[in-house]
Amino acid sequence: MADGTDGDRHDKGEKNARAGPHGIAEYEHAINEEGRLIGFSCQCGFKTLTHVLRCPVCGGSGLKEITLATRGKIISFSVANVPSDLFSKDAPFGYVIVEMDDGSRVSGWMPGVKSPGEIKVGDQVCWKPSYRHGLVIEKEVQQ
Amino acid sequence: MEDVWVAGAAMNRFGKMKESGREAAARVSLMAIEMAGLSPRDIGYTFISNTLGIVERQAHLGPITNTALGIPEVPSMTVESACSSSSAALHEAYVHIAGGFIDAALVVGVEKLSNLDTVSATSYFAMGTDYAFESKNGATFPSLYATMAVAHMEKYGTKAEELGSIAVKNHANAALNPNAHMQKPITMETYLQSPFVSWPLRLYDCCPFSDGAAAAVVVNPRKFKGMLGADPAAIKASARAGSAAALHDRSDLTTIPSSRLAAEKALKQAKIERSQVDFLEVHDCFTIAEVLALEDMGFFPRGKAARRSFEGETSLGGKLPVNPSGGLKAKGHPVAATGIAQVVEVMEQFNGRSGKREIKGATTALTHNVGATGGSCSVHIFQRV
Repeated sequence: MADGTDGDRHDKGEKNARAGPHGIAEYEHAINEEGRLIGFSCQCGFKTLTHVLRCPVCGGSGLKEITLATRGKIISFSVANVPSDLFSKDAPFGYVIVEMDDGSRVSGWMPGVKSPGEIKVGDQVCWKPSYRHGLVIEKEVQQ
Repeated sequence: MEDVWVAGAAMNRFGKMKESGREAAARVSLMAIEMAGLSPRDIGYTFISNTLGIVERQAHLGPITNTALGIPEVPSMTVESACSSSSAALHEAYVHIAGGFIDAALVVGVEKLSNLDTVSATSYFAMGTDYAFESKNGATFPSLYATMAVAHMEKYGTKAEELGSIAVKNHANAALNPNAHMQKPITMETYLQSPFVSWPLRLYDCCPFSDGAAAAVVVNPRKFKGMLGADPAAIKASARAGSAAALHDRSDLTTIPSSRLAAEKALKQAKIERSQVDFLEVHDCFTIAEVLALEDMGFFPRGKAARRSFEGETSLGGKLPVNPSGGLKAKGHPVAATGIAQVVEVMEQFNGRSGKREIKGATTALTHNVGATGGSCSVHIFQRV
């Protein structure tokens, strides 16, 4: 599309139709096929994996396409007992907002977390490429 | 700018509707038009909200409603802003009338989804999130608001009993509102024993899935002198604002920026102080949302709203009654009907039709309606005329 958005294209990451920065299909391809978490960074310091064409914090146009850090800490969380249909076979699970080591934040889920005592704000976690859907976040095992 | 009044507002009993959304929308619309003292032919534009109309396989509800009202030639549009849809529609009506483009508008919100099971309803609601980056990673609305609750608890020490006091209060208010979905008061014990939907939010922290419809007739009073029904109220402010859609793109989870921005704009527009507001109808889809609303709009200091609610300040008879209708929490939350249902409560309070939940002498009220986790927000201020 002329405005650089990807419209409703679902081409699994093929680059021939794209003008401008990567779209959601490329993001999903990077997660599922390349083991990379890709997003954008702005000169103001804001980083995100959300599909944006301008910075949502400062409005800046100088966004760079980056590979995000995959380790970070839990900013907030919940334990979901009533899922949506996408996760109907997965509940209960942890739902987390994670601040990565590079300052970016992502939303993800922690399979197997069944009660709030198992995780807490500040816990070190990482994104692990997975055969499962969505961004699977795991606890970092202390060496 | 022209003055803008609400001339009539009506809703049905929230809960489980037997009839379809289109039938309910037409019925409450006619009730509101008749309360306003007008006829459908006075309507210059219909703004309609039906966020999850796809559940009923019906879009484009405007012409269907206008046809049912005998005014098929009147223009209409659907306004979607998630849970703040019909307050967004009210804002559009306000803009059209204040700008002199039309003299009267019908604003309708309707939702019917009680035929869905919990997982399906949760899934349809989740379409209001940033689907690709939140719901695909496990988000539901209870989980998103749960992360805000946890952040608030971590930062301010907010306690379960404090959130529970909001549930108890709103259920008590709803028990006095014959149109409320939930008609029974609950105790703190009932609240604390209810199961977790998304920890730390319990079942009784969450609003129910409700069907319902609400309509308001909005007019330029100059054009209808001597024609209006007994109960008009002036819209002193109609303001909206937005926030980053996904929670992970916000720097602070203990605040909803659009609530603060919309409230600041509205108070400035109405030229009133917070102390002049007699009561509030705020967006309490979850108990924590009521806390955030009161703090973001500046009615309580940060970190204090839950405690002050626990102490009774926001109860009927308290210093600042909040959600006398029972709120989304207990009156029910038929998504697109909620914004106008808040206006119905304002009209009932102003005109002696609120029975035992009446706030005596109330002349100024504020309504606050959030879309999703605050990606959108409407604030309206009303005064008796």
